[in-house]
Amino acid sequence: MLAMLSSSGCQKYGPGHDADGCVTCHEGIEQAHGPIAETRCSVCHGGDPTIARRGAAPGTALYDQRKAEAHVPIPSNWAEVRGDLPPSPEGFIRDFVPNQLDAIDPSYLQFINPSDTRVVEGTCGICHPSHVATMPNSVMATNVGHYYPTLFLAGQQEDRTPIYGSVPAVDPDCDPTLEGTVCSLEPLEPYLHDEVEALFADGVPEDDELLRLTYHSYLSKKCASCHQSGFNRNNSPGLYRSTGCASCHFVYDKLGIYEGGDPTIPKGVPVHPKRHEITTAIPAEHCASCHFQGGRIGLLYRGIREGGFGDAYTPPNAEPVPETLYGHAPGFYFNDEDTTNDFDETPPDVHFQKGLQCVDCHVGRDVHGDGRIYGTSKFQVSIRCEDCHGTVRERATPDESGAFWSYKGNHLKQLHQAADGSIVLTGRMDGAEHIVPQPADLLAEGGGGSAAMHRAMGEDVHGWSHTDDLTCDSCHNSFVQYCIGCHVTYDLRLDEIDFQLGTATPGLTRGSRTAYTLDHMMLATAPDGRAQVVHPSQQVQMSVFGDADYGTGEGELLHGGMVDDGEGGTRPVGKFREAHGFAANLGFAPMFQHTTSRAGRPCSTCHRRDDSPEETSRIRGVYGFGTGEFMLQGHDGNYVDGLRFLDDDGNSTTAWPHAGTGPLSEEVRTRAMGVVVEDSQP
Amino acid sequence: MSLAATVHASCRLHPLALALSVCLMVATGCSDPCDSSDDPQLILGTGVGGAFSPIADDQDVGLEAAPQGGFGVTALLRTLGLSASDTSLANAQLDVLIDGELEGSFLLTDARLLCRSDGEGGEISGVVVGFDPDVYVTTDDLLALNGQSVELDVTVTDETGNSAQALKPVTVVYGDQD
Repeated sequence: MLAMLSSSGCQKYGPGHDADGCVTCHEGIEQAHGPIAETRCSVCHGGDPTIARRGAAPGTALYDQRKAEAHVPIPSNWAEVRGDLPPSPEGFIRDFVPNQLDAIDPSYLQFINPSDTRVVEGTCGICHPSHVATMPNSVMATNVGHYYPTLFLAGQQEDRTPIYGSVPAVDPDCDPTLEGTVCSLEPLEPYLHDEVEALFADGVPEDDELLRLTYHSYLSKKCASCHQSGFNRNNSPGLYRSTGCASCHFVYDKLGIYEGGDPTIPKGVPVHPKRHEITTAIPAEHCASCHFQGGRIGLLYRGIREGGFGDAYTPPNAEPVPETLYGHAPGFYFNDEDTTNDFDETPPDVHFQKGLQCVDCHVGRDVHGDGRIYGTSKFQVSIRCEDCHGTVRERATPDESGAFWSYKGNHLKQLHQAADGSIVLTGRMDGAEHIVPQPADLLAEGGGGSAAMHRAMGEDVHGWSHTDDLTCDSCHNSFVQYCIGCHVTYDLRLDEIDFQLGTATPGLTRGSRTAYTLDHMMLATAPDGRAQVVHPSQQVQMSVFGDADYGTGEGELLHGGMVDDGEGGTRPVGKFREAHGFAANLGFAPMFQHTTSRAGRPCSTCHRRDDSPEETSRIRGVYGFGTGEFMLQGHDGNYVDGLRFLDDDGNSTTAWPHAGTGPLSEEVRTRAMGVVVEDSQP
Repeated sequence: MSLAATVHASCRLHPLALALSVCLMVATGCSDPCDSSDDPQLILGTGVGGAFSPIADDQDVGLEAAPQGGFGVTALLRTLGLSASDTSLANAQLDVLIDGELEGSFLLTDARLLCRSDGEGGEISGVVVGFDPDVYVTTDDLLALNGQSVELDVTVTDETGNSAQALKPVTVVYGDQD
């Protein structure tokens, strides 16, 4: 009957009727959200739901007319706002950056993506007000964790208090005493052409001003595309995602191809979600569309090593990822270091091997925030291994209602206790039930734990366990990738798109690393006071080149130095970040590896096997005294050890970007370096 | 226009004539552009969101600098007469030449060659045709490439072993140079 009425033109659509007219064209589209009927598109998207196709055939003028009446019109300023972005269909905004989206009519933005942060209060926020209220202050929105550490280490801010975000943020109820939080953020302000001209009006600016221009431009051009207030690049495999809630809750595959049933959504061409469905079953691959950068946890968790091109980054028998991925040509990433042996040097995290995705751990506050403005994910993330696995002394325990909670009070709905006492995690993606191993059970008398496990995790005669002073991941990681030395150039001869503004601004910023290694692991103090694996973090050596348009020599080196290139000439080398009393702020950051292994590392990773000078030297490297293997040449021709953060007297040689982090105490270092273990100990 | 292209053009029919076109295809031997054929074609283009702007001979095309090394041209590859579907895989040899000398060579393997929803051929999106990152490293190298005439030499081989090649002379241009 409906079909007869529809074809006859008598069926009415929209509020008060059975369906919105949208479904007469978008027939077969997936229901985006359970409680909202699949026929009520306009609840989220707006538009005119009374308009229906009424028999008009695709490609005809009548069809186009009805489509235009039903859809929200393309804003008149669309072409102007789009500017120099690549050719696209008319009205395409899925590669717009935050300022471009700010400039677009909100009703059109809602039509394209009802969950965008600019319109979400009237859509998702109707039923999810708490999420919508807290999300804008989440690190997922502010991007703050990528800004202040770099600016602090470069001397562009006095202390570790975050100042800037990709978007402004305010916490009206802030508690200044709450660890790792601030009350507000202001947006990083990129420099425009006239501002750069003004800066150079009286010659090359002082170093501090020049570096402010350089670092603000660097961060805005290189970091601003990875937060949920703007789209991803959406132009290349691995880089597809939406904005707002849909940044995460609409899943895109790495090709950005729609696989659903709506005949009007083009197949075979990006950029569309796999299906028109809001979901909490988010695969790690989708998270990696942003998390392939920064700590690279979206890669590490899946057992992918970021490499680079050329022999320096490519072992002879390595297996590269043979795809264009994250904007790189095939061969930039690696699955296996050596295909001639029978094991994978960089395996996926054991949780990933078991089918768990990022969302099986990181829920609630970890991703949505709680309204506070945390300076980094280190303080926003509320889960740790013990929340699911318990400690070496106690099993993970539910409260009286049977609910499990993270150590910072996040409800872990994915956990429950089975009738036999097992702790069970229900997988978000596959719904499979995973029994969560409890070390306390294994260490208990008759629990089956090995001698090595007892030695590593059990209590000694003093009641002390390694786990009292060491995070679980420090031993339970299968590999640690260190990227060493980061040569960044800011070159005023060329412009580059700024991912805050969406327009080209002065300066091309580029980075390249000196080396990488999988053969070292260092320990330092994490924010919770325990020892944890520490990473070199953005070991920036900055070079700045001028341009005649700004009154300098064309390509003149404004910041950095010339060193011998070994071929009878010289080459430019950037300056290390000199600030806070340190000549070279290499920057080190304790970090959860996301390369969890079932078995722990051998004791000799952190303890000497004998009293030989070689072993002593090796172990000193673990605690920050350097390895001598990765020497970074500075702008003055002198070298700095890329894996060193302590001088011979045990004093730190670099500022540390995160509050509460730093070298292990002398007492801990001395004790750990004094231990000699048998070579055969696992 | 080649015979295959002429025949292909005749297949671009209004949906209402779809049934007739199928009959004609059968009767005339008109092949499905997403099937492997004797005269496969490859077209290089640019665009996002479903837009496709074919790259013309000697056209200026954007040269991009990858954040952590490498320079290249991001392109869309459209095919006619190669096996394309939701499950089809293809390899793409991506070369760039200057004065006939190879200046960059990458092999993209097992890429999905999707049949477009209009059925008028296959597409591989977001392919980077890159310069040798061991040779072209610095911003000065990028400046040297800016305005350079090069040839993009791309060959796509479908899972049946059928190949199509496009050799396109272009001028690579980096963004807005001052």
